[in-house]
Amino acid sequence: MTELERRYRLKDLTGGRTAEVWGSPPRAEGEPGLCALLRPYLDLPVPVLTQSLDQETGERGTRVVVLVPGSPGWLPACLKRAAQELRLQLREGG
Amino acid sequence: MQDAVPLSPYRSDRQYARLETYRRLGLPDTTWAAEQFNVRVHVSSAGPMGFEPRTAEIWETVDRLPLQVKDVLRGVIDELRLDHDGSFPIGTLGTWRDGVMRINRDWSLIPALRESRWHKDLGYDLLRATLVHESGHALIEDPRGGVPLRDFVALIAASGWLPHPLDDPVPYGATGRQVSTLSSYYLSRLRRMDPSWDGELPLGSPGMPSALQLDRDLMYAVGKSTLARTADRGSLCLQGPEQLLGRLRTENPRRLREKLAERGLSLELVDAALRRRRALAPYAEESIAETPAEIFRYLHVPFSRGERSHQSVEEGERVLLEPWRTAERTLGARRAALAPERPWEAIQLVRRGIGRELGR
Repeated sequence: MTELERRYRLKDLTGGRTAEVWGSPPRAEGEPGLCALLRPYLDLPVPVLTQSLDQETGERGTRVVVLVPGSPGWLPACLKRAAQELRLQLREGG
Repeated sequence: MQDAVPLSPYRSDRQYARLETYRRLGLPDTTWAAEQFNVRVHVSSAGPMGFEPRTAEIWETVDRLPLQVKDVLRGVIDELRLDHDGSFPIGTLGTWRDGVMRINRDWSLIPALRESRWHKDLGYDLLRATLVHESGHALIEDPRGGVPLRDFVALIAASGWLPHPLDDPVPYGATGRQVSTLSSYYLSRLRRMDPSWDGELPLGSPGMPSALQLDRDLMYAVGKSTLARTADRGSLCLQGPEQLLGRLRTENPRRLREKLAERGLSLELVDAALRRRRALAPYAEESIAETPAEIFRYLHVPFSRGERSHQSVEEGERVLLEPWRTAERTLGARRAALAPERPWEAIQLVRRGIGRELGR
């Protein structure tokens, strides 16, 4: 399965609303109110943490990089951020 | 019978005084950090102007860290440096090496954090995640009570790191079904490669090879022709599950199926093994050394209940949290200390009636 084929389910734990997101550009289907909340995230670049390592000194570090929409890893990172900010449960579906 | 979980050496019954307590007394934030975490503190004054508010926010973030992370800061870190942006590789929030943690004093000026549409707490969240992640490195590699190599390798196995099935088919059979058997297998291969790897000792212990060598011995990709030509001892060639899936997808399915069959494997078996365990985040797939630190970060800054079912999280709870939790239960819960360390300030605090108010 490619990253584009992966489907992600988001659930509002308090209200029980659900939505599913997949594809490129990503589509959201499900409870309309929840989809409306998700849509602004679906064209937003997202910052993620990544490693930095100075080979000379061995100093390890954490660096922020921005994933642009459509780049590898962007959709799950974008949905994780949406889930965190909107207080949703995120699960990867089939 | 399972052995009793050892107590974390970093948990003591000493309390923490809040940053606010020191600020009310007019004491500098650096005094709070030095006294509360038993570290040398250095704040750079080089670089762009107006750094005071940003450094103040870093101390506030430290003040709100979970207790275990504070215990790691106090027990493992010798020096805390808030250095200017120019002293870091581009976009770096913080680093750790040999007991010194460096945080980018100008963290909020990093271009990647300045997109106006992002949530106002995003920069703070990432700074906090960085502090926890770097503390995770410090905990794991500390020879005084860090994580034994055996448990480190268990975290790697639980995070889905696997060799290419044509290079080593063993993890795709019965050995790979349980984290415990898979990690024992990885450890035995490591020890065959270099007998100085000792499963009972943490990385950083005298006599143990370095963390960089562990990365190399576990994940360095070395071709068979190179191995044949040189004295290179090779590596386990482990890859993160997503990386390996991506690589296998590019191979010719028919040829792959035939070669797997020669080794007693099928595509279905390989697929099942790759999907059995997943990395928590792309960060945890970048290098072996990042994986345990990222699990530690996740345990303290989770984002979704669904991810709790990850085997790496379960293994992380056992390896990284349980010794500390056992100590916490044994020694009893802590409350915030009502006063700074130094007696004179403590007396002033009580006279001004601040201690009672802050103790709630």
